[in-house]
Amino acid sequence: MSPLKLVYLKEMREMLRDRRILMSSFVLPIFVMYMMTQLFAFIGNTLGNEKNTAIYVTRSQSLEPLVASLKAVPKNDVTVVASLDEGKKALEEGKAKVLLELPELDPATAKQVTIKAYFNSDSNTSSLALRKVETWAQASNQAALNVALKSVNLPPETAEPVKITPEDQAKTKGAGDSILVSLLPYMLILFVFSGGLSIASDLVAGEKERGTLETLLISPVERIQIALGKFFSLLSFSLATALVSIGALLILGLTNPMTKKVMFPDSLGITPVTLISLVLVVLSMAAFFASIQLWASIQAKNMREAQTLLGLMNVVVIIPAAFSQLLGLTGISKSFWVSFAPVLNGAVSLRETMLGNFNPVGTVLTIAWNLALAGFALWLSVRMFRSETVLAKS
Amino acid sequence: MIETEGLGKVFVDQKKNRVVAVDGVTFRVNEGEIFGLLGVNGAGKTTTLRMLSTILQPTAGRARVCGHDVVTDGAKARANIGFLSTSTALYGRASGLEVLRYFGSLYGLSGAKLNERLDYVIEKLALHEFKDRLCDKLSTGQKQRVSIARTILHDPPVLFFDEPTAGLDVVTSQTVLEFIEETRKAGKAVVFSTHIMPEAERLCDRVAIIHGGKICAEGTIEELKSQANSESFEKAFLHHVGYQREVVL
Repeated sequence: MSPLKLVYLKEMREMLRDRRILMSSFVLPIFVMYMMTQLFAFIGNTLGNEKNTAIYVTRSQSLEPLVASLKAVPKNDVTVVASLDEGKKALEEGKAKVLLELPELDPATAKQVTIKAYFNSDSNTSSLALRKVETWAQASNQAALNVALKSVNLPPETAEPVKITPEDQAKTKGAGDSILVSLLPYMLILFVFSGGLSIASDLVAGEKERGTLETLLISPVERIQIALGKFFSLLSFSLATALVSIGALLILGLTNPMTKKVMFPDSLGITPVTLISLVLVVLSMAAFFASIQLWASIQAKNMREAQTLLGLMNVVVIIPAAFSQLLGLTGISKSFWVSFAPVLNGAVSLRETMLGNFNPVGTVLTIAWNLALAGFALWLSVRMFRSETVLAKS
Repeated sequence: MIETEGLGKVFVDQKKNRVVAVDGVTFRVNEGEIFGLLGVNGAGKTTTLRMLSTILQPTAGRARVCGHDVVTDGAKARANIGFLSTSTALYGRASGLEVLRYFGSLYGLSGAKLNERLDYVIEKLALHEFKDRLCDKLSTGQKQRVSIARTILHDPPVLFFDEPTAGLDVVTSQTVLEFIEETRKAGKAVVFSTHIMPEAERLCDRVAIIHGGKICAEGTIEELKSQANSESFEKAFLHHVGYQREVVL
């Protein structure tokens, strides 16, 4: 058996025996996925069971027909109050979501009714209630306009000389807004990085601290084989964590009908070719992460220093990964430079591929650049392994 | 078997100051001989042994182990070395047998040859009872016996012992010292670094006293005592390192 394989198998066996590592690499991601799917199921249920909108109106004898029309809108819970103060108190207490101040006027002479709508912009439900009232007013105005047009023998189209009819051309309709497409690239990156995080500090800095690295370096094995054996074990752990996390997400998400409805879009742009590209992008990112984590572990003089370095790296990785969730709001996803921005390139490639916008050139550039960076970090690691500084302790 | 010639090592500290750890060390160790490197803490013993085992690069001079230059032919030099110190540890989440099998394989042993050597060291160091136990669960003495087994598993002609009894109890120290005595009988070339004089007197055929990175005296125990005109080896050692009592009560 080659020394590389010996080092690799020994590292894997040791890591799999460490409960702390098993907890952070496998049990914790599954738990996080369980919590997340439960949360989305709860949100889905809440949104699905739309509650009645509490609308308070001040008493107005002249506008009773208007109040009746408001009451006729489904899921409107209209309460008439005697005074404005009483209504404002209900709004403040949260009993009313919107308060309409209706004036008293003579219907025979009045040309327009001005209704003051009191709402609370700090509350989403209050803003939604205001929008509902505005939609109702718009519909009432349209109905009145249609009656007026008909009375002078004009068709309803007269009031709408330009009409917009939207035609969705997206390959994966609705997928762009789906939680899965927004979250998956971020989570994949996070889990691939955190999978290695739990063992990276132990791999070299831990061995330095315990004194086992010296024993290993005195053996006749070439240093490059030791470095590569440790690199591949780190890579395997990162990928295993990502695989377990995504597997848990798919199983937990797809077996719950509500989570399935909320999280998973009806269609994704995944074909066998794009699936292979997704796997290769994830692999290239995992290789990049494993190589920089190994470098950090060699660089550190002890476990504590390694954990600090890796913690800082984690923050550096999280920022572009989190930004990737907002990519839909920007136009940068098709920019050339994105393929050369570590972490962001992978997130963009994953997201666009899932949306059916597979870009072969961008994907190849992303994979090649990530592998080039991984190769460079690995070269630095091997160089350090060959140098006596690898044993430097604090 | 082991030759050093003007071996030196200079470190550069964080403030960019040059720190001379070993300065022009020259000695030769033959097979079946235990050569002692004696010195106080920080004298340069460990640095010398680390250069001989190729994990530190000399900044001056040269060294050869079994004819292999430690700089230009490091892997071959390492293949002929067994190294034991209290700082070389075992893998806590592996059993003693797994550690031995792992290092045996790294030294190129496999199949029947590996099993034969494993049987030999397990028998020799009485590891039967605890060879399948995780190293984290072993006592200090048991760990040291596994470490010794790891050191001799590939039957190296050269052995380096860097303060191998530091921090060990009397019984475990005795096991280690008896083992080192046996290696001489087996024809190994041994470099034994210590600052414990009775151990040096008991084991070493020849010793070099190292102080401030330089060898200040070399010879048999009797020769060094005679040079210092002292009956006690401890006093002879102090004489050679230039110790002077600073406080008179």
